[in-house]
Amino acid sequence: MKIDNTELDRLIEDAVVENAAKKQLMDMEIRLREKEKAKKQRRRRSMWIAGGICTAAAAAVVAAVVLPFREKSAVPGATLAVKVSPDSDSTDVKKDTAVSAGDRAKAACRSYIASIESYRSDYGFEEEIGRAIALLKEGKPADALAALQKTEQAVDSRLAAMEGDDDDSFAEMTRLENLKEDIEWYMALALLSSGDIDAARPLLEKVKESEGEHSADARDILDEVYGDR
Amino acid sequence: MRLRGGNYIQRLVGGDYYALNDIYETFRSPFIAYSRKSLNLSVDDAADLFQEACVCILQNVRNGKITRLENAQLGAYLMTTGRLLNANRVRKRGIETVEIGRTGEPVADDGDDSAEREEMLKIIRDVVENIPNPCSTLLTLQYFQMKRQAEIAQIMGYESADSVKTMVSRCKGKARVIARQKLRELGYED
Repeated sequence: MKIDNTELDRLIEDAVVENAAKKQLMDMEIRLREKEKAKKQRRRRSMWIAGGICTAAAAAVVAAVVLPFREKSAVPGATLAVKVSPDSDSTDVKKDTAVSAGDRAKAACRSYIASIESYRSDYGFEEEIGRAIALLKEGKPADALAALQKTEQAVDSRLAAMEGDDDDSFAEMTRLENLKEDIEWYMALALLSSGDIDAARPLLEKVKESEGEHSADARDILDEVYGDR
Repeated sequence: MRLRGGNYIQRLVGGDYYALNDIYETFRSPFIAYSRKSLNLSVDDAADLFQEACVCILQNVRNGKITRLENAQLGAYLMTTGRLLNANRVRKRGIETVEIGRTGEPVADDGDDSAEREEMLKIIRDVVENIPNPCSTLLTLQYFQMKRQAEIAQIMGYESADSVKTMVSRCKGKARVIARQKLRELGYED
């Protein structure tokens, strides 16, 4: 294959444009990621302020309670105990270990629940989620969980119905996928509030892996409650 | 979904390549969410794919395959492009040759010629990427930022628009020589 100078010039111009476009988009990606990171940090800061005393209390409880786990080295939480209270005397702390792991989870997620602002409730599913959050804040995690499970089923059905649709449903599917991530996060909080930490864990892991809006918070809770790194 | 600043495709057709930034910001999140779910990609891979889909749209605008498209249709168009790019990636291990027709429908790959052409373009991209300054900046200002030569003269401190014209011509000549040499070395030209 032989290309003449005119064609080669055109390819050179194309290459210049493509390289510059790629660079511009790469810069854009970096800027957007920084923006997202800053947004997350702001959210987390306000969350800690809202959670304030609760969080401090939770940290103290975690430090005191997880120590029995240290003796069973395979149990998650052992590392956290060392991290939170490296200088504490183990015999003193052992005396004070009446709080269960479930209580620890409740304490740890209290600040997150407190900081949830009113959920956008335009219509349909969002309204259901808003109602479930209200129940969660009222201290009725079992009711909240039931409502969230019901909403999740409805969202799943809607998504399944859209599976065969053409590309026009893209925006709606994305919206529903984002809603599912929210639902899973609130379900995890509801389960933690009920002290059901075993059931909450896979949900938290899923939320963490999603790298979505609640991912960093899920990572923190996994770290705080289960001693995950 | 917030749409920014006019019709993106019309802006690209008119040479405003910063419309790519608006396209990127508007469609990035839904594209990534969709790719993660439907194509099973990580966030990083989905972001890479989205960048390639955006560049693909730019290519199609430049070679006249897209002349009109409403902003609202662009999301679906990007997704179709991304899906095809991903399939090509898997099939050809890195050689992307997606062609999208005027109506937004993918055009079938027409065999060895386009693959060879894509390979050549890849080589030329490497040459252009490694071309030293002032040529690199000059060519970017001229062909990507679409600056007028008088403006380029001002930015780069040349005496006049004519000096810029001469320099651009020299830089292209230089890129041509290096590109031909590379193409010969790799057996694409006799």
